[in-house]
Amino acid sequence: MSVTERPADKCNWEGRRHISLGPKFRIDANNPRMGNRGYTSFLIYGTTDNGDKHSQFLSEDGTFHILNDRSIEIVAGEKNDNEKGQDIKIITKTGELILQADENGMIRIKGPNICLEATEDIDIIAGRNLSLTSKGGQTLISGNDLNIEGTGGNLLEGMKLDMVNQVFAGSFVGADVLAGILGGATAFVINKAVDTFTGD
Amino acid sequence: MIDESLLKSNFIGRDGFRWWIGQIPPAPYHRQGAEGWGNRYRVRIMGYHPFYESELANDELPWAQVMIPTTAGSGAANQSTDVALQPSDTVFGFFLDGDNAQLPVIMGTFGRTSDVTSKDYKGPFQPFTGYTDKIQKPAKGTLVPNESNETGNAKSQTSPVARTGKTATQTGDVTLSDSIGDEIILSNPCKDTSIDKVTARINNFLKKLEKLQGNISKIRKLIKKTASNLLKDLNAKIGEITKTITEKLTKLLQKGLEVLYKGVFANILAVSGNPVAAHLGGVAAQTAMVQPVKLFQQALKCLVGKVIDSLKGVLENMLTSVTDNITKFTSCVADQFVGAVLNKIVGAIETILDGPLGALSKILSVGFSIGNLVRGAIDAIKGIGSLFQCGQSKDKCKSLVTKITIGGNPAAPVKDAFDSVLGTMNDLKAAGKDLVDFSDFKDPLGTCFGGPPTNCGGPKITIFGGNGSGATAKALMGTVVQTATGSVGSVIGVQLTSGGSGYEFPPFVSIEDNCGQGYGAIARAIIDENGEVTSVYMISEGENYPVEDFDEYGVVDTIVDDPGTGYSDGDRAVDNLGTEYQLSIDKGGIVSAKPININITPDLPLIRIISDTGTGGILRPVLGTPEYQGEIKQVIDCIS
Repeated sequence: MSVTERPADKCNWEGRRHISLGPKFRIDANNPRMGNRGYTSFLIYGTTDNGDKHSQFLSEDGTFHILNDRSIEIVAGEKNDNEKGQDIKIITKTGELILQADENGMIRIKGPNICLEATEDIDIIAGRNLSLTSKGGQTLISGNDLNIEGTGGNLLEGMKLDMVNQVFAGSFVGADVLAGILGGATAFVINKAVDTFTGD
Repeated sequence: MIDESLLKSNFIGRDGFRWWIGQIPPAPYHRQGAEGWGNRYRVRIMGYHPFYESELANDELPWAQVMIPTTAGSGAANQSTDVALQPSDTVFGFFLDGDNAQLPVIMGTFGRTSDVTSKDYKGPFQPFTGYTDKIQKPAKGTLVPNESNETGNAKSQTSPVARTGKTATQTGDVTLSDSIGDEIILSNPCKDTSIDKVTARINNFLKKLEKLQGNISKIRKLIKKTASNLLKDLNAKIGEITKTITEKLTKLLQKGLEVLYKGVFANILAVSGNPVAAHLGGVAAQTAMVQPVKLFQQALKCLVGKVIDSLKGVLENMLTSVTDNITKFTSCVADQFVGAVLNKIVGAIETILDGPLGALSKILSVGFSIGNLVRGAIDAIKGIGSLFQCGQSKDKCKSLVTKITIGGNPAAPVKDAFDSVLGTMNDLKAAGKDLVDFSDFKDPLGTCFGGPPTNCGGPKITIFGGNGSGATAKALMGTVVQTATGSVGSVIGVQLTSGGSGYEFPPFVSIEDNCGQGYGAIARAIIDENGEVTSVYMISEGENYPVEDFDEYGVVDTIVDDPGTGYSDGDRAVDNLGTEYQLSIDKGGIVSAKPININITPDLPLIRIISDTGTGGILRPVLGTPEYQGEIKQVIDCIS
């Protein structure tokens, strides 16, 4: 499968302006070559001697991209003296704000106070474990309707909602005195009866 | 000599202007080092300096100062832009000392063309490369080396392109980032997407593998990294399987306990004739099961971790097998891989739970298979438990975009990866293949063709999101180019075939062909107050889309994307194909623009509004098949 671009005469090369500052940096505007989201309105591009690339560009569909092969560091506020000032603001006006660590590592959010507020729902989903720890204060879970579900654990066991309690919910087991009542010859008879029933 | 000297004023500018053309010599003689002063370059001047180094060596050439444009700054007040002259540059200048010709000044340089040779230095006045030991060619994959500066030449200083690495390579370009084209599955509170995540991970692995062909150390690293990430992705899936197993087994065990009680009760009653003893016996039998159930519950607690442990080496082996045997990558390869992984998970669960389940055999029905239960559990997991109730809004789940492609268009929900993978998992199991060894892969199931696609079809328009449904459209092709394998072109318009219903905001428009061949076509939809899509217009026409249908199209209508302000009667609009548009204006804004004449257009037209007073208006062309219904202007008799 080959790639065939539009003929050069179908593209507006007249509008292209660029500044190429050697083999490691350039600015390119109005480049009519087609990208995945249309033409590139402008591009700032740089590389390192090791071949790591950085680009920021505006596509014709209005998306501004920042792509970097290694790390991006954004630091602000060194000289802000208002502790309630906003050092970094990221705001979406209409749609979603997506923050995703797609491979390794974790997303760390740390601050003296953290507020997650949703006008509708907050969903926290962990593929493995979910820990909520309050080290110096209280843990409060409040709501109009509180539910828990699961297989085991002291919370469920204490509330008789673990698997063992669920399995035996409809059975005659429930008194912990059975062992005291049944012993000796009676127990032998019962075991024999169980084995006879199950064919062992 | 004396006369000549008498005629000279010895003031710059009064003794004539002696201009020259010369060449910057090769490195390291071409420029003053960091310890020098000013911007000084050596120059070999035509007509003044010999053609041979043996007669005048490069390091004996005179220094020339460089005149800097006023916009570059002299350096005063931190205003400066440095000089970019390189070896071999052909420069133009003059002598400050006239005929003495000892103080050359460089005023400018001639831009190179792509025809200028960029080879190594051979001798004076022959063009050669500007790259030096200190300014080396760009690192591989970062920039295309180029030594021309031609306005409007598509090949001069080509910049990296915003395309996937594969597409960029095919045109001899460099991609802006190798991340472009990677699939990202977004977090989703409304739907289980673990299989989508695993499938996307495999697709991205295959994509990267294709790029790394032959680089064994990097491939090994990629395999390890991918296997490790897959294990993380699978945590959630195995956790959900565990939960579903628990729910299903709880019911089975409840039933089993009931049957056990009845059986023991009957047996003891038959032996002793004592119903009290029989009851107590039944209860004791049930009690005897408490410990095994408890042990099973404990086994479930660690099930996820144990299954993940069991998969560690397996996944790496499977990925290695894929690497060794797969040369053509299609989505079904990923489906089959994930199907095989699910079968591995089932097998691991069977092994791990074998012991704890053995102790429960007395209350599980004959023929019970944990494997079948797990398969059923996988099938049952499609949604996430929801607390929605009391008529609360579920808007957050409607039209939720589940996948994005880096640097690409919003990904249309073409198919549910879960269903596809699940089918593959069951097919593999039925076929008795676990696909751990891909060596017989070209198609272990006979349904996955790994070769290049034979029919890409035309680009398909998918309109999705916006909380509505049912809108459909057709791509109109233009800028068609014939290639050795068929025709490719651009999407110059979109013809709406159904407006659908229920749209609350403009839906996404995805334009893709089956082969993923075309790129760059971007369209937007407009809806009306009734929730219907009324039109779709092009933002960018893209290129390289396979052409299936091709017709003649013209601008049949327009969309007023922005009415602008200040327009007045008499204003008009035209496009680059000569079509004129009649504007309807109300209170300074454009209300509509109708084409007066219709020209067949092979490209996406650009409409320009001609006005002395108005600004900001944007008109988008709507293409269609023109209907020739105008009055007959003239009949030409070609026979008589």
